[in-house]
Formats: sequence, structure tokens, C-alpha cells
Amino acid sequence: MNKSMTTNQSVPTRSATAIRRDKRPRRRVTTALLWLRIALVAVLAALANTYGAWYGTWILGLLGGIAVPNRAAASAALAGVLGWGIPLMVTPLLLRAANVVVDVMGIGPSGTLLLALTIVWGGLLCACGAWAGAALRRLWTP
Amino acid sequence: MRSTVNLALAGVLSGVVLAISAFGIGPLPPVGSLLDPSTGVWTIASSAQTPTSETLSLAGLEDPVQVLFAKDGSAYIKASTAHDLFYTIGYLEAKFRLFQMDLMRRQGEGLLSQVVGPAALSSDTFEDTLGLSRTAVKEWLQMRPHTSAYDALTAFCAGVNARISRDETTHSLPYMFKLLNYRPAPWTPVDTLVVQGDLTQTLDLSSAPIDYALLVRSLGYKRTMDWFPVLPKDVQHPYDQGPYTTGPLTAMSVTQTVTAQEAQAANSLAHEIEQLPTGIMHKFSDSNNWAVAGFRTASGKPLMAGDPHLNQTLPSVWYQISGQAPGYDFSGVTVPGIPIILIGHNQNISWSLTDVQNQSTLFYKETTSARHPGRYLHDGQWLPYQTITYRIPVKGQADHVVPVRLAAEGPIVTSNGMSLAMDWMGNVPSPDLQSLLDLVQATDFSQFKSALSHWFAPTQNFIYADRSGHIGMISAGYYPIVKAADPWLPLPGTGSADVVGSIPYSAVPSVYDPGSGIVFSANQREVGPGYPYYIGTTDDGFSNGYRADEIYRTLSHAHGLTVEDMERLQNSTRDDLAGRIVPVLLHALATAPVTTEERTVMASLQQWHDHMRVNSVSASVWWTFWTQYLQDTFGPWWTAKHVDVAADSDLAIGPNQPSLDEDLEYWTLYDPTNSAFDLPDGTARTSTHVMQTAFRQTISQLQKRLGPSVAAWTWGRLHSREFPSLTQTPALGYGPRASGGDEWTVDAADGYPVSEAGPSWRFIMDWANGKSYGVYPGGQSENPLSPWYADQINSWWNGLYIPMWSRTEVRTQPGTVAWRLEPTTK
Repeated sequence: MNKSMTTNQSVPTRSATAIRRDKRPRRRVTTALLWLRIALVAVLAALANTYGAWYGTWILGLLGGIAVPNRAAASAALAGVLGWGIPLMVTPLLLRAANVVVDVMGIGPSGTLLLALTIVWGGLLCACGAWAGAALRRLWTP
Repeated sequence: MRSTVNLALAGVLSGVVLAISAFGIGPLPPVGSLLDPSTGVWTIASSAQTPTSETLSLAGLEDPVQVLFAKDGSAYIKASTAHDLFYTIGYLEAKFRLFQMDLMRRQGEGLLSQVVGPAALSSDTFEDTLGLSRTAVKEWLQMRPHTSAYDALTAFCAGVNARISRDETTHSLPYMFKLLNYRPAPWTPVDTLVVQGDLTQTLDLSSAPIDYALLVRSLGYKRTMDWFPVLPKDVQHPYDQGPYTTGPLTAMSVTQTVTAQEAQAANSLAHEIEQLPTGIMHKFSDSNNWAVAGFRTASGKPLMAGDPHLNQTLPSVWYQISGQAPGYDFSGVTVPGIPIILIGHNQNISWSLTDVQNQSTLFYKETTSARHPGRYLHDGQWLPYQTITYRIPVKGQADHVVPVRLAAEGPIVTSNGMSLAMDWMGNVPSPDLQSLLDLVQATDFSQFKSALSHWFAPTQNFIYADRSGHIGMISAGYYPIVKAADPWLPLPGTGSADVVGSIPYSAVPSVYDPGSGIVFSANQREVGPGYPYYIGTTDDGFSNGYRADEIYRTLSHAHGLTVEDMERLQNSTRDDLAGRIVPVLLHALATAPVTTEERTVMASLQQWHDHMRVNSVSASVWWTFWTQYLQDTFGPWWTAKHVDVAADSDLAIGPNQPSLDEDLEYWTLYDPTNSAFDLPDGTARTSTHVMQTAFRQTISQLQKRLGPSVAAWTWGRLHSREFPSLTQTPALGYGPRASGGDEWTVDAADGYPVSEAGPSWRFIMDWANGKSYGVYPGGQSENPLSPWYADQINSWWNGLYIPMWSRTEVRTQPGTVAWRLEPTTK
């Protein structure tokens, strides 16, 4: 704590506005990278799904969590939701399909529930993988 | 430490989510593969898209094949070899009806429990006992290699399996496989023969001897045979009026009794049958077909019509195809799982089917002894039962083991009270497929008749018309003759009453170019009382003849008939019995004191033209009255004599008992003082008294049910039709919707108040121009999202027809799509 205070004292004083201005490009890059990662995971998850490899979403989350453990679960959840949700959105007759399936399964009056469950499941798989990946990473690199 | 806990928590959650994804939870199938947006249950949407013109490469084809899909999904196949034709039929049936096919083979093979759980165990146990799969295996083993049937069957299976492979590779198996979490096994020839057996079972397997055993036990032999006689009391219109080929008559008039043990066995079996799902046993007796000769038509050429009545489901039992290949040029409907059309036409002849309804199921009482365990007495010897043990896989439970014992006559179907064996003609290996292949290639009646000479089961009335102007009918199939009396009761299993043969093919009912210029069957008894062979009793499923009467009434004096006349008759809702009984009822009421309301109803009946239309008040009155009249006549006897309706609902009094309808019709018209009207305590009654009482009760019932306003008592409020989904999901079915018709109208509606069986396809052939028309209440695809799932229902409902095009015509129709199937290059 003391060492830190000493270090701070050696840094020349700058206005808060200037500091924010300096951080802005880095934050932009970080944000862009985050979205890129999310998009990449989403695309790869959707691609794995076309081969019937639903577990690919969890594996991608796990790898993502190992690679970037910070806020891994949240970003992975979003990636999973997108990876499972976007292909659904382009499915023809989506709501009718959902309604037929819930009718046959006898699980409720509306197919919206099944749609939501599908999207959430994608997010959950990816988030679980990411959480496990991040936890692993933290175990190795304290 | 904190990191380790974090990892443990993450691992546990991942484990739970992955486990549910991979293995499911409770009734839920594996959620991962189920919900996968690209390969899971969501493919139901992409699979529902109608085909687009494209080229497909398929392994196993010999040459390119062209398939045209008409706007309604009917497929027109042109192949350069017979192999490719049947391969393509298999491919298309699997493309549009794979789950239905799998369900049908599972039903016959006793494997439904494997995918739907213990709810199907009663059905599976029954099927394993009955032995459709044993018969199918025998049929396959008896089929000689490189016959046309063998080649068609193997090519068909290759086509089905090509589609299954493609669906698996592209993850587009029908959604029901994904929901039930299983993959279809490869299709085999035995599967097709089992599906054929399913149809035979629906049309042919009955428990009439069990009914008789219970009736004789309660009502006594004399009264049973008076009220459920071999020959109907009323005047009917057999299509074959003789002269008949003479032959030795089978003696059948020995009085029998039924022992307590026999009754217990019958009661137990009836109870088991009660638990079976709809369609397992033959229930309804309705189908129509007719042909009229050129001198009765406007064109001078024959017209033919047929409408087989089966359970109406979504998807429908039928799949419509046209096929062209060397030796074949046909158009009609097949059943998914079967490689050839059952009803339709080729370039020279047309045909359609109705059920003969002869007795095809015999029951045998096996003699057993504690001194000879596991054996039964047959031909003087104590023979061991052959035992086959079936292991039925049950979803979510341990396998269910079913030991099936076989006696000489057939499987033992119950041992409660005594051992009863069932001898069912559907278990006789029957080369039906070869018959059908020969039939679709026939060019005249002689070849048609020859093709059907090897058709054993189910016995069917094949109507015929041809381009040359001939019409005819033959009731092909196996008619068992036993060497003992009363085959309608359970027979001794000692060998003394075994089946000794069938009516010779030359003597089965048939006609060819009758002088009347009309041929028709509507499940009425095909022959008159002079026919020298026993074919069954009035309780065997023969219709009460009212539809046949209506067809006869319409056609027998008609000339200048057109396709539109055929359409009108197929959609007729006129109740012929009402036409005869209502005047007698009004006469009976004329002398009785009536209320104002009753007078209003009588006025309505007087102006009624016997049509069971959806908005008809008189239709409601008539049907309720007839039901009540039957009940008032026979009910007191059923109660006094303890007829066990609870064990066997087939014994319930109602309009679906042809024997009782015929009795009551005859007594009302010709014998109003028959002792059947008397009460069991000896109180004398006549038909007039019973009719007056029944009429008053009818008014009271309708008031209670439909309110005080007579104008609101429309038939549509009492009666509806429903086409349930095969998945048993109400939302995927159609109806219930208020509907006209009843069980006896030509446009039959079987079942009351909700009818689930009726005209499953309506077909008309006009030989003036070779054009044909057809419609069925469903569509070509089993996918509920497909535009071809239920698109024909409205046309069917409104009595409209869809042309069955020629290939040349369909090519120019708007919306036609072409597939080119090419053999995979090696």
C-alpha cells in the first residue's frame, strides 16, 4: 500500500479529463476486441451446431474463458445467445414450428417458451464453459 | 482455496447442464440435440418447405428418374426401369411419411413401447401374440428371388433407406424422431409385409365369436341366433345374385351352449380387447364402390367410383402417386410403407376396394389337462404348445417378457377360464404384393381376375371398369370353411373343427357385365340366401345394407350418368332407412295424443327428405329416435338377461349393431307384433307402442340436451367429424367440426357423436376420356407445417375433387416442380 502511494507520488499530476481522453482509444480497442470475440464464438457455435455438435458451444465457452478470464461468463452467455438465436431468427415459420413442438411435447400453451428456452440454453452452455475455463485459468495463474 | 471452490462450482454447473443436454431429464429428451437450432427439432420448419426443382444424386438408382410434383404434392414418377420406379416410390414415401411408416411397422411388430413407453404395452403384447411379424417373415421367406414382387420390394427398401441415410446425414429426420429421441432402423422387406399385415388386421380381425359366446351365455342360443342370425332378416341388394356354382354345403345347424369356463375366457379376452387402441380390431364396416356400364352414362363409356372408409387421421393413410416404367403406367393411392398403389387405374382398367366382411377369425377352445401340463389335445394326441418368448423393450422401464404359446390352430389369446386359440386368416401367408403388381399391369377382366387369384387376406370386393366398356367385381380372398357346425362360436380345438379349406376361387362372389349395367358393393352381404357356402353372420361386420340400398336406389333407374352424378352420390347424406321407417313412425303417432312440441317435430319429419344435413332438425330427431327405439326394444332383455356390455362394448345396443338394425327394421315393417317387443316379464307390446314411447323419450332428450326451441335441434349440434393426429396431439388434428352424414349414408360418418372414420379417399374414373379424380381428407406430407399437410381437407369437406393428371398434363400445370434423380457416379 505504501509502495503504491510512493509510486503515485512520482507520477506527474494530470487532469481527470486528460486521463479519460488517453484511455478512450484503449477502451475502444478493448470493446471492439470483446465484440469480435463474442461474434467469433457465436459464429463458431452456430457452425458447430450445423454438424449437430451442440456441445461445441460449451467447448468454445471453455476456450474463451481460458483465453480471457475477465468477465468471461457474461460475454460467453451473450455469444451463446447469439450463436443459437440468430440461426433461429432466419428459420422460416419459426413461431408455428415452436407451437407445434410444444403442442406435441405438451409443455405449455405457447411456442415462445420453447424459443426462449433454446436461446437461453445456448447462452447457458457457453457461459458454463466460460466460467469453467476462467476458473481453470485462475487456478493455474493466480 | 477460493479458486478451487470457484472451479468446483463451475464444474458442477457445467456437469449438470451438459448432462441434461446429453441425456435429458425426466420425460425430456436430450436437450442439446433437441434444441440445436440447425439440427434439432427446429428442422421441422425447413423440412416443411415444398420441394423445389433440383437434381439429386442417389446411390442405388440404375438410370435417371424424373419426378414431377403437382401443386397438391401428388408425385408423378417416370423411370426407365421397374427397379428405379419402386426405388423412387420408396424414396418419396420416406421423404414425406417416414415417421408414419415407422409407427406402422412398430405397431405391427409390437415395438411401440420402445419409443412411447408403457402406454403401448397392451398393444405390443397383443401384436406379439397375434403374430403379424411371424407371418411377415414367413411371407418374405416364401417369396422367390427375382420375381417382380421380390424385386419391387428390395428396390423399394433401397429407396426408403436412401432417404433415411440422407435425412441422417443432413440431420433432417422428421421432428417426431427427435422428440422421441430415436433413429429409424433401416427399412426391410419384412417391415413392408408387416405394414400390409396392419391393414389386413384393421380390415379383417374381429372378435365376433367372442361376442356370440357372451350372447349365447346370457340370451341363450335360440334368442341369440334369432336376433343375430346368419342371414339378415331384411331385404338387401347382394351384388352377386347368382346363379351360384354349386358345391357341398357345410352343416351348421347344431344347437350349442357355452359353458361357464368358455364364457369366462370370452369375457377375459373381450376385456383385453377393450383395452386396445382404436384401429387394432376391425370396427367399422364402411366402404363404397360401384361401376356403371356405358348404356347408363352420358358418354356411353363406363364410370367407376370408390371411397374406402377407414380411420381418418392426419397424416392420412393414403399417399397419392403416378408411376411410369416399362410394364407399368398407373395412378392412384398407396399406403406409406407399401411399394404399389392399392386403388387407382392404369391405361386400360380401374379398380377400387371395399371390405367383404366375411368371417375371417375363428376361435378354438383347447382341451387341456392337469395330467398333461403344457399340452393340448389335438387329433387324439397331447401335443406340446410351441412357445415363443418375446422381449418388448419399454422406454424408461425394464423389458417386458411375453411368452406366446401356439396351438395347431393359432396363438393362445387367453388362458383365463380356459385356453382359447385364435385362427385368423390374416396369419395365412398371402402373396398380396405379387397380386397387386399383376393387377396394376392387367389390361382386361381376365387378367384382373387372374391377378387376384393369389390374394388371400384381407378379403376385398375389387370393383372393375375398363376402357373397352366392361364392368365387374370379384370378392377375392380366403373364405375359411371348417368341418364343424357353428363357426361363429368358439369351436373345439381338438382337430374336429379345423379349417379344411377355402371356398374355391371359381365360386367366390363375382359378376362381370351384369344386365343391369350396375355393380356396387357397400359391405352388404355380397350374395343372396341361395349361396351354397357359409361366409359369415350378420354380426361379422356385414353392413346393414342401407348404403347399398341407397346406391341401388340411385343407380338402378338412372341413365345419362356423369362424373358429377358420381360425385353427388359419393357425397350423399340421405339415410335410406329413415326413408322407410319415418312414415311408419308418423303413422304410429297419428293415433296417439301428442303435445304441441311433438306436433311441431312431426310436421318437420313429414317434410323431411331423409338427408342427414348439418342444419337438419329432423336428422337429429331421426337418429335420436332410432337409437332410443333400439334401446326400448332390446334394452329390457339386455338387463334381464345380464348381457355383459361392460366386458365387451361390442355388445352395446345401438345403431352400430347391424343385426339389431335389420331385426328392428324388419319387425317394424312386416312383423309389428313380434315377441321381441314384449317385455321379459311377459308384458305384451307392439312396435307401435314402443315407437310412441321412444318418440316421447326422443323429444325429452333433445329438449334436455339442445334446449326448448325445436328449430335449434340441428344435426350439427349433435354430430361432428374429427381427423385426429397420429401423434395424438389434439392441436395437430382437424376438428371436431359439425358435420352431416351418419353411419349409413353413402357419405359415411362412422362413430357418434364424433365420427373419426369415413371416406378416406374419394375416387372417380371416367372411361370416356381416361380422366380420373380423387381427394382425401389430408395432404401428402406428414409435417404439420407443410402446405401439403391438410390442404385437401377443404376440398374433401365440400365434396370437391382434384384431377389426377396425366404426366403430360401435370407438366404444364402452374406450380409443378421437377426433380431429377441421378445415380451416384461411382
